[in-house]
Amino acid sequence: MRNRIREFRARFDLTQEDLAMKVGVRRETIVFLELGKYNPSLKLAYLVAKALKAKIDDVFVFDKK
Amino acid sequence: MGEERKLTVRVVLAGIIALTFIIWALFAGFGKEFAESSTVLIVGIIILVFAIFYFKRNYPLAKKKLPLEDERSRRIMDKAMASAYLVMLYFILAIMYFSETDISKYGWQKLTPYSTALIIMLAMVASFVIFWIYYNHKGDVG
Repeated sequence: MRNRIREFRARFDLTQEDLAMKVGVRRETIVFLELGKYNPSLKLAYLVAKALKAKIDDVFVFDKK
Repeated sequence: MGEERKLTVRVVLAGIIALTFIIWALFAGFGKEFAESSTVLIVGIIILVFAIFYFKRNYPLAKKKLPLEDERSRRIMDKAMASAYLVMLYFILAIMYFSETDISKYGWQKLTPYSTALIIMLAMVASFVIFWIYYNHKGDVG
């Protein structure tokens, strides 16, 4: 699964730590999410999308490969 | 409970356990069997090092009111525990075999029930730490 967290973060001028605080997770979780190395639960995906004022499927893009 | 307080309680508990192992090994154990006391000492040192590492890693987060745990860290913990448990099953089988076998012909001392228990304890701590580090760096624990 690809994601556009970094792009949305840049749009709102948020650091990884700011986003982690908004979502209520550790900063490494945001790092691994951005790198596409961690697939979040639906709840975390929803919270990230909400913090970035976007829809889940705008932030997380399902890649069939 | 606040994150800072939660962290302090965890580290103090781990420190007390580690110091109990270390003090026992240094003051009560070395008079008896050196190998067995050394094992206890190593277990104590591993727990202490891990507690210090855990504190150094999490204190800045706790100060900023960031959570000590989230879904990823809990998954890492679960996977590390499950993997360590699986490895330990095989390890205990191997240890049971060696404790029944005469290994003195290879220059090794025969394992007593006491030293067997200590080796298992050391292996449990070490395997959990190794798996935790592995999964934490691997990233994908989904």
